[in-house]
Amino acid sequence: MLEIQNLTKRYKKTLAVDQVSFVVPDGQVGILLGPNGAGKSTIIKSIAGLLRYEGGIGIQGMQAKSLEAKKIFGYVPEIPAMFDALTVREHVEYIRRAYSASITDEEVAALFERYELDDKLDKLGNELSKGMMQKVSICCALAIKPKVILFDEPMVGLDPKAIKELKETILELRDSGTTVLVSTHMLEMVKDLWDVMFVMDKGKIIASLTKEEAADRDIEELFFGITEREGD
Amino acid sequence: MGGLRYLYLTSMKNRIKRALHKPVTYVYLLIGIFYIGFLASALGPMLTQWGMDTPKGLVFILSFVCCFFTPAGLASYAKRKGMLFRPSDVHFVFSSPVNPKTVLVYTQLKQYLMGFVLNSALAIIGIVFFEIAPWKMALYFVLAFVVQNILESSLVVLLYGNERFSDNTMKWVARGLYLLIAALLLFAAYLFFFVEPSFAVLGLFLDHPFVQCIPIIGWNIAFIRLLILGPTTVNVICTILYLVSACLLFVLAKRMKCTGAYYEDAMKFADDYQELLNKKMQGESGRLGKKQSFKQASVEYKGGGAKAIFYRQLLEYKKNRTFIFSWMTLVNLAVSGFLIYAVVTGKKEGLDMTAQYFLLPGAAAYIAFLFSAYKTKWAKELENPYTYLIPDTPFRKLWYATLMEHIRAVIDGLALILPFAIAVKMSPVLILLNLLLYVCLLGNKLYFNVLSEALLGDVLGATGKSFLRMFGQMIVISLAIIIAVIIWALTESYELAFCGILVYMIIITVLLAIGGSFSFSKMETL
Repeated sequence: MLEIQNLTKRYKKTLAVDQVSFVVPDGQVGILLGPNGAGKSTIIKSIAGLLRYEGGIGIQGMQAKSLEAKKIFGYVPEIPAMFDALTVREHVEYIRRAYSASITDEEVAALFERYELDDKLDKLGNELSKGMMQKVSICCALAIKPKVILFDEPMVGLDPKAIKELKETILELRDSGTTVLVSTHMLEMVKDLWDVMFVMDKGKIIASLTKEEAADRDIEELFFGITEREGD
Repeated sequence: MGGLRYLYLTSMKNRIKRALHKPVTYVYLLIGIFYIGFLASALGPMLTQWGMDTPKGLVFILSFVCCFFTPAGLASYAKRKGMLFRPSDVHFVFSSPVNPKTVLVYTQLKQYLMGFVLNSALAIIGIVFFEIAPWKMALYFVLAFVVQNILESSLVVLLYGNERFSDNTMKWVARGLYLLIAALLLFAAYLFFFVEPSFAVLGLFLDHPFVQCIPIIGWNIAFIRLLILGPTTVNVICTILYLVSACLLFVLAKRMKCTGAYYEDAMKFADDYQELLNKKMQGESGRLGKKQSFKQASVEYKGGGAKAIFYRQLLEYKKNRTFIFSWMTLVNLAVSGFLIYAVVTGKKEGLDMTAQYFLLPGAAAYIAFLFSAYKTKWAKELENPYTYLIPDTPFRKLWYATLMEHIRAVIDGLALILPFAIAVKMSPVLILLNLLLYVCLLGNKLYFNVLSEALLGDVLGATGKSFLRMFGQMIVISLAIIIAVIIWALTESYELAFCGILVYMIIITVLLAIGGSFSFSKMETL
């Protein structure tokens, strides 16, 4: 479970996130939607422990900044950044050691095959394209076998096959009880994935609803309905 | 912990393996060995000449470093700067289950390695050049390396990883350290003006018990003095304080709470640093974390095709706070002032100043050859796909992409030539010839850069290309000097000698420009 309580973040005098609270229960996919500058990335970075903030963030009941919470937490940032001198294989090996992850060699090999990285294992980080880096970043986050995982604009730069695999991966994670939070602009990409939706604008959550509450309404219709109503 | 160890060891192993596969590594290695050999052969006589080839000389150098560099380093840690984090650390390390204090210590690892190499070199230098007993240098090597690194790591954790004191308090800590440097400089100035008005005052200053009593920095100097020069009351007491402080700071750092609040500043630093690295790799200049501010400006585009490149650059320069003037303009003015001083002094001392008119071309050649050739707007054009899509010839694109550089060369050239020309009452013809020569030399450098980009854009890095440019220019300038000397010897006319150099330089520059225009024909280099 991922719990955000009264999260507030200021950059000097700018209030980027204002008293935001929400919960994504175990085995559910939450999506964080909103226009540019709404505060989505600030929330994601706060959860990942990269920013100073006021309020509380809980991962499976533990403080997000505790080492125990970090052990079960996966993070796929918007812009992946690889270690120049590590190969694809060595990136995952580093993650296995840093997290003392229980993933087996066979499972790692299956991950590489699924994301079509099996022929690029000896390529160094600085030899990879943006899409390849994103795939490595996803594999690293999955190698942790996380209980909570964050994806920040995960589809950007991915080829259609990888997007399809990622969508399937997210559903598999959900079915295995993992909490997933996806921040994105690409409504079309997440329309079949979400269980709970949070719409943000100007640093606040302006609407949140579950799949049941949305009934059969289309995600675009929901999103523009909320944001245009707020604009008026 | 195991993850970080794996990360650093594997990265290092891969870097070495990759470097060994590149032929250019061996070239740099040879240059490095040659350079170290040169330094080693020059160091002995230089130290003897300055009377520094004694144990006291080494203590003097080490004390100077402690006094003026250590406080600046600590101040940067207090401001959460000075630790080299990369975006990959932000992505993979900061979010991983590793104690943020361990992350800080591991990030210092490169500095420990560098410290190890420097201390090893220092141990050898101490024995060979400063006549210090090997056992003393061995003791210094072990103790200084261990104690200094424990102390520095503790201070890094306490200052950089601090979560107890506010940003404002830490800013005051940094200011306090800068004030300490200022106070030390003032004390040195006092000794210079009121006690001993010579450079020997530096020795007097660094020997002073007052300096050894400054917490941490002075105690470090006392520790070095005790190891190399032997015990005195002051250095024994201060060394004890130094060792106790190292232990105390270590315990404090170990017990201090650190949840990773510094990650936010480190993340910003990593982005800024990456941006700077990207610029450096492209051969551009830049300052860490400094965003350029622009003025409002407008420009009227006259003509089409490649000319649009020139007008767009003009617009960018008009938005620039310093327009087309740069630090080079100031350097040229300073060089001109220096040349005037040299001529006036030479005349006063009754020296033969027949060749004074060659001072300007000499200075121009020196500036064109040695000063850094950071790429300017022309290089940006090569990265812009529109440069290749504009319907015009590659040569015209090259000309309009570099025209602004020639105009800047005229302005900077005037800054160099005019003050000197007025001071020595140079004829208008010679002024014009000098200016043309300066513009030609700078054009020559520019087109050497364009050509090396066209030929070796993907093969050599910025340093390699810079070496190639310097090598080419060295040959061109040497030939120009030979031509000038021959014409002058035959005709005894400065004007003809200048004309000779000019014709030669123009031919070379045009040839380089034609060669370099290949860069503007397609995005891919040869």
